[in-house]
Amino acid sequence: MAWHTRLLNFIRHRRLTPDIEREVAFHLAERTDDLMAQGMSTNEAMREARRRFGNPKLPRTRADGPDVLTWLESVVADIRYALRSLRRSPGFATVAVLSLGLGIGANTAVFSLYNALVLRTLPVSNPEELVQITFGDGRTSFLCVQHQQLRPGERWRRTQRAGLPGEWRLLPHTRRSAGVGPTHLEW
Amino acid sequence: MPRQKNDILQGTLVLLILRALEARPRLHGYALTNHIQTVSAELLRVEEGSLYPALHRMEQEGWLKSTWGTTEKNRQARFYSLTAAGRKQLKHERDNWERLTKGVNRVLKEA
Repeated sequence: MAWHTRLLNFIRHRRLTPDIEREVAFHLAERTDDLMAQGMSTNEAMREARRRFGNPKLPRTRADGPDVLTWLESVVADIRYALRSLRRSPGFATVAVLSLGLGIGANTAVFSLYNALVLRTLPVSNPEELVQITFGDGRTSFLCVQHQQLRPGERWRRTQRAGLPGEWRLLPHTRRSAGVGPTHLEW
Repeated sequence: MPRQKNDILQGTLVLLILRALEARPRLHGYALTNHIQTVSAELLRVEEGSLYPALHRMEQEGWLKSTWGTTEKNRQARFYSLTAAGRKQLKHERDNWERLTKGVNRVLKEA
């Protein structure tokens, strides 16, 4: 049954249910009459009518079937069933939980790293003022805050004492596009 | 001893309801039960508990329409009648049934 019919039934639920109850009541009344006409006492006839009808709750329950509540109940039942099955085969459950856990964990770890390194700006107040200083072959570098009005020459004089040739570059907002291009220091 | 089952086979109930309403338009549930029982010479007995769910399902399918009315005994009852879609469904189910019984009979009578 289509979901919109279920929804409609749910909305109409209050109207639908008494309808069925009235119908069943009518059926039982007619049956009782017929049985009494065959010579049964009122009580006997009523009991027999109910017995023949079967479970008078049943048609209501079945007619209630296609609505959202019942659907939800069956979803809950499915979940319970899944849990029971998992408990019955703990080996499978362990493997499933482990592989899911590892998968989710690894993904989270990799993304966190990528996010911190590439996607987000540096966790400082004015990241655009940071300067990366690279020495010689480019393997050694460090970050420092660009002082106002820093002139390349002036900066260099300090590092020169360490006896290293170098260059410096500006770090923009993210590290990915690092460098507006290295500016070689001259001295 | 083989089990006797004169309760109506699953799936044939719809066919019987459609046919009964073709022969007698505007029946309520109780009359339907009696009609099927009488016409089949007591060979078939509608399981009363499953009749009403079937009627409601069929109404939702658009094969039946129902109205509340008053019986001769001045009781309120829900009367069902066939729709055009119901007639089409009856033809379809009748063809199915005839094909099925023909096939089963041939298998049973095979030499």
